[in-house]
Amino acid sequence: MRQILLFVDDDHDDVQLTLLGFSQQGFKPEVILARDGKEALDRLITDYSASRPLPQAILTDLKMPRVDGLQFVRLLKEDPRLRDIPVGFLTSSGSEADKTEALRMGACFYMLKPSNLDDYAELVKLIQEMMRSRPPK
Amino acid sequence: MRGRFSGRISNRPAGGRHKTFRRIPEFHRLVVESLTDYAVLTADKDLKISSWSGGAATMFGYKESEIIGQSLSLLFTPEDIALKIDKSEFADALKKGRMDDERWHVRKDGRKLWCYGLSFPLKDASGTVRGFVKLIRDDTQRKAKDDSLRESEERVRLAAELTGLGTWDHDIATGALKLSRHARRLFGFKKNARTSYKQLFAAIVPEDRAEISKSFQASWKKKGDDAILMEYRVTMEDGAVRWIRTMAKPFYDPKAGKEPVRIIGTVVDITDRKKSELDSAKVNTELEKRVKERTTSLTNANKELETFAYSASHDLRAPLRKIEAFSQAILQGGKLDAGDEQYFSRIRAAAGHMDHLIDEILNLSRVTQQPIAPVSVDLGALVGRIAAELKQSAPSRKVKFVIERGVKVHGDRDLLSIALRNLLENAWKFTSKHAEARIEFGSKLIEGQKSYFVRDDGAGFDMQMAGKLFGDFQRLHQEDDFPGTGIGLGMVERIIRRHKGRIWADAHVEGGATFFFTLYSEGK
Repeated sequence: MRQILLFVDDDHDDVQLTLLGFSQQGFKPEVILARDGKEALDRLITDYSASRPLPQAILTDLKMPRVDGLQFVRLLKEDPRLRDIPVGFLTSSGSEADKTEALRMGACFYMLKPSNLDDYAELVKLIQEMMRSRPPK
Repeated sequence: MRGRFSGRISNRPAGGRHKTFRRIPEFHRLVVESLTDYAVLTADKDLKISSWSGGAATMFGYKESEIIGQSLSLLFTPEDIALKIDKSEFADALKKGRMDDERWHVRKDGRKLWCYGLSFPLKDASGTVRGFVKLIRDDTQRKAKDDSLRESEERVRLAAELTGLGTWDHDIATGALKLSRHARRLFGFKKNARTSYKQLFAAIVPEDRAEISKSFQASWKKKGDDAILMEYRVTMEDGAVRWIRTMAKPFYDPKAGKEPVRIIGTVVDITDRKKSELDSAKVNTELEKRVKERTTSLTNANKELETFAYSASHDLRAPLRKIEAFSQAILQGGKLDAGDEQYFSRIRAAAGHMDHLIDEILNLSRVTQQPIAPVSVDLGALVGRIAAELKQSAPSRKVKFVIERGVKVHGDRDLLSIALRNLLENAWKFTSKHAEARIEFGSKLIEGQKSYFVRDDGAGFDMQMAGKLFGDFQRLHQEDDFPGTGIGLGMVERIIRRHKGRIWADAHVEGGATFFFTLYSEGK
């Protein structure tokens, strides 16, 4: 069974650290990378139109150029074709307001980027829960 | 020469030296002699004294025998004689039929008497002038009284005028209004113009009239005799406006109605004082405005700084996090020799410490920015909870917590909790080198204000360093002995200050430390 994760983050270092964290936890999904919300949406719509498989889960950063994490999730939830894909936030913003808004829009979790690789275990757990909640089509 | 009426008046028995005596009827003689307060004397046409009553003898000190035949001028002052008044007086009496006067006369002993005199000519049956009669009353004492009264009145008037005080007297029953010269000037009345209360009221600036009526009515209502104090403006004829201060004292007639029958008062020009008052009020308003502007701009600058601190520390964390995580990745790769591994451990530790510092800065800015939501907070219960957590973190430590229960205050629960946690964590940390420790929380009255304290028997510190205690990033101990960021007490101080309280400490090296604090809602 293909496990597809859409990972939206503009920070190359963070992408690399996250993937490192995943592999250390033995979590090896098929990862589609997008550098901001716009790129992610474009990719989702293209895949949908081409009847390619959609990801089971999306992991997104908050602060990004063009379309940021919150805008991206808002647009996603407005689109009936995409709104069922579960989304989680992985960000370095500890702002309570951002967290509240993200959860209000239907995000499954809001996690701060860890500084210790061991902490990726928690993230992997959360992503796997999301994927289980939405079997691949 | 002697006429019918020029007989001498004497109480000598009949048959004396002067044949004329018998011509005066006894009745008239008695009348004249009974006037002991009056000198009654006659003079002939040449103004030589021809008769002298007993009253005259007492008054002037001359016996009848020594004065008869002497000139009347003897009784006049040298000044009046120089002015020929001793002669003119009788010339006038002759012309007008009678003449009264008030002047100084001279006694035999030289003493002066202030006298009222009445002179009229003596005529015989054919109407020929034979001489004069003069009646004199000694008014010296009365004049002295009048003079002293006049003098004291004058003194009062002078004092009033010198101090710029005018006086007025309003007889409400008759409507008469008397104003002193100065008061007239203050109200702009011409020198001899008639004055009435209506006119006076009309001079007052219309906007100020209601207040005056109100003051009067309030006083009438109380029926008190307290002076009524009023300040108002008066418009002069030339349009100039003058500020006047009035003190008025009402007088009531118990039989009359509710209103007083008379009001007496003073008026004084306070234009200059008012002007300077208004000027300083203007200056004050201007100052207040400037202070407000400065405060606003300072508050804004502070807010900006705090926002900046927040986002700066936030942005600082991202690279640190990467340093830590990549260092960890390298270490976990296991390709390094022992020396490199140690360096990377140090890099990780340093990054970790900086991360912790940034955390504290973020907390600090939260503590300063977060609005205060005051509720009733049980400090004792909070301390109990934190103490339990601390004990759980190191179950092997022997620390006795002594907590006063039921210490309730009004304040922000989250912020006070942060403050207490910092104080207790400090106490916990600085007693860690002792085998056994005691940490106490309680309250007591200090200088009349409810104060709270956290006391430990740990490492303490040198009170000479106490000034540095609450400064951000200030540390009084070696990092190796007691690790920390130096932010905690700065945060506690901010929280207490935001609660309009005060914090201070008392400590001895190796003798423990006590932190005291107060909160605004207490002890006031």
